[in-house]
Order: sequence, then C-alpha cells, then structure tokens
Amino acid sequence: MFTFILKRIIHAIPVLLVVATITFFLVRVAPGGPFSEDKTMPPEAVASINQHYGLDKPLYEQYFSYMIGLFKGDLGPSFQYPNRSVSGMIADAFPVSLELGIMAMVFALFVGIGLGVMASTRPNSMRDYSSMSFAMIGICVPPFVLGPIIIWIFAIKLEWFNVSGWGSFQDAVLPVVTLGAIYAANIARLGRGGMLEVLSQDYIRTARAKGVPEYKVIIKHALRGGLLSVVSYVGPAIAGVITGSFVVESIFQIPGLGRLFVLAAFNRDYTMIMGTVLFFSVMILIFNTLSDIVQILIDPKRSFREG
Amino acid sequence: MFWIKEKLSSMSIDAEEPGNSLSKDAFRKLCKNKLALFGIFALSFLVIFSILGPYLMTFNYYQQNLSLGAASPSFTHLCGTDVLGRDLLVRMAYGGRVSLAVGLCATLVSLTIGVVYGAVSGYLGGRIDSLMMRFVDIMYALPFTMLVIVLMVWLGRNFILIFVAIGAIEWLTMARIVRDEVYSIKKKEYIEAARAIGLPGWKIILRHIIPNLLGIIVVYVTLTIPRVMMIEAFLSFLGLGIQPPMSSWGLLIKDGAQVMEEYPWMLFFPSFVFSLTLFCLNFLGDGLRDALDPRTKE
Repeated sequence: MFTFILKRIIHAIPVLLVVATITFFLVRVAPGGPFSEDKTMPPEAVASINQHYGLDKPLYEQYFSYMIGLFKGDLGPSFQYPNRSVSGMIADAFPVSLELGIMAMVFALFVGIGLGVMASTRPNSMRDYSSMSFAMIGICVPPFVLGPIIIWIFAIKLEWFNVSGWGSFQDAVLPVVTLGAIYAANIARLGRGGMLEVLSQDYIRTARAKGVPEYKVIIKHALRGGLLSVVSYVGPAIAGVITGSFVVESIFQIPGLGRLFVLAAFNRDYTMIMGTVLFFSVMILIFNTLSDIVQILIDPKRSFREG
Repeated sequence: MFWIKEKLSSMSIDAEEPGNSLSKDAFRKLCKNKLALFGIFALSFLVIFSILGPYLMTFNYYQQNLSLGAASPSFTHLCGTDVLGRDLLVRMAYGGRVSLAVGLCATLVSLTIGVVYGAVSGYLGGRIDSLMMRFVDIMYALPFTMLVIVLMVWLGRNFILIFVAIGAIEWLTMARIVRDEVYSIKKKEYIEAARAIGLPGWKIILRHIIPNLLGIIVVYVTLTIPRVMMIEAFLSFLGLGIQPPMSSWGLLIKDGAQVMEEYPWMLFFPSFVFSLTLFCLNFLGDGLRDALDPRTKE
C-alpha cells in the first residue's frame, strides 16, 4: 500500500506542474493587470506597486520565481488584500468549505443509499418509481435553480431559515441540501443498479434458500458488492463537493474557498487564483487516491499492485 | 436523428427471429417507454417554441417598457415582464435558442474530438494507447471549471469561447468511454471469428466495431447535452456567460433569483423551462440506452 501511495505521489508531481504552468500563463497572458483597472491610482503609484510585486519583470522571470516559491511552499501575497498571504486566506476559508462539503456528502450518502436500496428491493414497483423520480429531480434541477427556489420557499415564504449567512447549524441546512441533492441522486441511481445486479447473483439465492431473513440478506450479503460503484463514485465526488461549491457559496454568501476563488477571478488577483487552483488540484488528487485505496480494500478483484 | 435510424437499420444483426433488427427492436422498445416518449414530445415543443416563438410574438427580447416595469403574468404578457418591462416569454424563447445551440454545438465539438481520440487510442493499443490515456488522466486532474471561469473573466464573455471551453472539458469522458469500448470489442469472440473467416481489417471496423459503438455514442450525446447546457447556465448565472440584453436560461434564472422576493415569476418560469429540458433529455438518454441495449427485455 505504501508503494502504491508513493507511486501516486510521484504521478501527481507532473500533473501539478502542468496545472501551475497552464494557470500561470493563462492568468498572465491576458491584457490588463490587478492594478490597471483602478482609475483612482496615479500611474506612478501603479508602476511602483507593480515593481513591488515584481510584475514589471519579464514573464519567464516571474514564472521561475513563482515556481521556486511554490517548491518552498510559498504561494505569495494576495494582490487584493495587501496585508494577507494567499496561504493564510486559503487556510481561513478551507475549513468552511470542508465543513459544508462533508455535511453535504453525509446527507447525500444517507439519502442516496436509502433511496437506492429501497428502489432495488422492489424493482418496478411504486416504491421503485417514486424513489427514482426523486433522484431524477436531483439530477435535473441544478444547484443554481434549486438554491433560489428553496430559499424562496423555506426562507422567504415560510421564514424557517435565514436567507443567507454562515454561523449556526440552521444556516447550513439549505446550502447542504442544495449542494448534496445532485450527489444524492447519482448515488441513488448507482446504488439501485449495483444492488439489482448483486441481488440476482447465485450467492444471494443461496442465502435466501438457507432461510436468512431478507433484511439480513441485504445488509450483510448484498450491500458490500452492491455499493462498489457507489464507492468509486464517492471518492471523486467528495473532491467535487468540497471544491465545486462556487455556486452554492455565492448564493448563500458563505465565506468558503469557492467564493474566494470567484472573487479572486473577478478581481484579477493573480496569486490568489494560482493558489486556489493549485489547492483544488491537490485536493482532487488526494481524494481520488483515497477512493482508489478504499476500493481496493473492499473489492477482492483488485490489488495494490496495479498502477 | 434520421441518420442514426438509417445507420442503425443498415447494421442489422442476424437475430434468432427473422426481421428482428436492432433498429426495429430499439424503436419498439423506445415507443413503449412512456417517459422517453414524453421527453421527445416535450423537447420538440420546446425546440419549436424557441425557434418559431419570437416570430409569432409581438414583443422582442430587448424592447423595454420602463413605465410598465415588472408586471405579473397577464394576457398581454403571458409570463409577465422583467424589471425593465421586457416580455419574459420572448426572452425565454431567445434564451432557449442560445441554451440549445450551446448544448448542441459544444456536444458536437466534444463528440468529434472524443470519438476520434478514443477510437485511435483503443484500436492501436499498446504503448501509444497508454500514453494517450495518461494524457487524458492528466487533463482530468485539471480543475477545468476554474480555468473556464478564469478564461471568461479575462478574455471577455465570448460566445464562441463558451463552445470551445465546454467542448474542451467534455471530450475527455467521451474519449475514455469510446476507448474502453473499442478495446473490449476488439477482444470479443465475434471479432476473432470475423478475422478467422478472413474479413479484412477495415471491414471489421466498419461492420463490427462502429455499429457496436453507435449505441453508446447516441446515448452519451443525449446525456452530454444537458450537462453542457448546465455548464453554460452556470457560467451565465455567475455573470460570465451570455451578456444582456441577449438572454439565456441561466441569465434569466440569475436575474430572477436577484428579485425573487418581489417578483417570484421571474425565477419560476425560466427555472421550470430549464429543468423541464434537462428532464426530457435525461429521460430520452435513459430510454435510448435501454432501447439500444440488446440485453434488456421488453
């Protein structure tokens, strides 16, 4: 297992280098800079700020100094908030996104597996159809539609929750549902498919023939095999749920990483964009590796020896 | 869709019963799937509404009526008007054109790149295959949504750029699916049998590999279009996609969300149309997948 992880880390290095290089040039090549839009500043002041941040040097020099900084773990200062470092701001915002993401994933797993198992135990029944229609709603109503609509229903009309904000547990309910809905839907569909396949296998028939009660057949015998596809989905989905909350964080005004990134993109905060993009890439790589490890542990057909 | 039917009918598989070709079989299964049929009809209606609607209506998408302001639905404005007094129904029709066009074009871009890349990789196999797939893996690790956001902020909110950006994200999955499929078809017994009776390579590809790919491609296309439309709407929602006075469904949803407290219809109508379209496309995709899979029984 350790060689497996080591191998993954070695594979990750070129990926991160590519990400850093692409983002760097994408960000710099475009016309305009972080300070050129500010009309109130005299040009001399802009020039001196540019000099301070090294923006007046040739591009390749900036690139190499940034890359050297990266190897030292230094993401540089934020251009938008003069006294703050990018790493510091990410460290402040990440726990918020992490909390939101984990809650959304737990919600999605509970709802998704519940619906999926419910549907698979009685295929083509009313129960199957209603849980699968529920899942279809989750897939077809994207967060930027679901978010405003549940705000309108539960916060404006019923006044059960605040419209936006991030403080108490209550504030988390609507964003968690908005963010988790699509994952719950996908898990439900995958779970149903996997369970159906497993439930038709011989060993399930054997278990039933031996007189094992139905709930035990499902929990002890079928779930492990039936949820394999769910596990392989959940790993990358966790990365997605933690990193892909731009819309939800913007709608609910949550001070997380997604909002930080969107604001940085609008403000042309070079170092902040680079920092968040790299951070997101690292998260995606870590969660993909973790999900591979979990899959290998529960799937007897796979082993750590493969790539 | 006619070309698909034609292609499907030309690749009839000799089944046990005479005349039971894959296309006929698939068509019959599809007709029995009520949800898929509903999807086809609702989708056709939406497409016709988007294309012809603006010609039949008296308003246009940029005509403002400031004294009217945001009016609730009435007989003159069936879906009401927005804050600037523009007719919402017309703006939804125009938005439909944009959203559907983006969906189709970007899907075609990703389809072309993905199928060619995946087929080449899968057919050649060996070292070239693993190298090409390694490249796809690396691309997968890039946070594309973020790069697209950066691109949109920087290079202006360009219509064509949206196609290219979305197409560039989506081809990766297509390439992987096609590659895996080609790779596994190559090893099937009937390909071996075809080789054994001395069929030339190009005939094997044409008669045995491509027909087997077609189903998966058709299904994948119907499932990619809603995803692509969602990305476009997502960009428009963040204010990075289509710019006013042009309209797209994402943009209308964004406008509606900002004033939903006072004028809820501005959120509801576009949200409904957008979700309905996604529903239809997903139903159709699922229906086609079941219909084209020879293993599913009626």
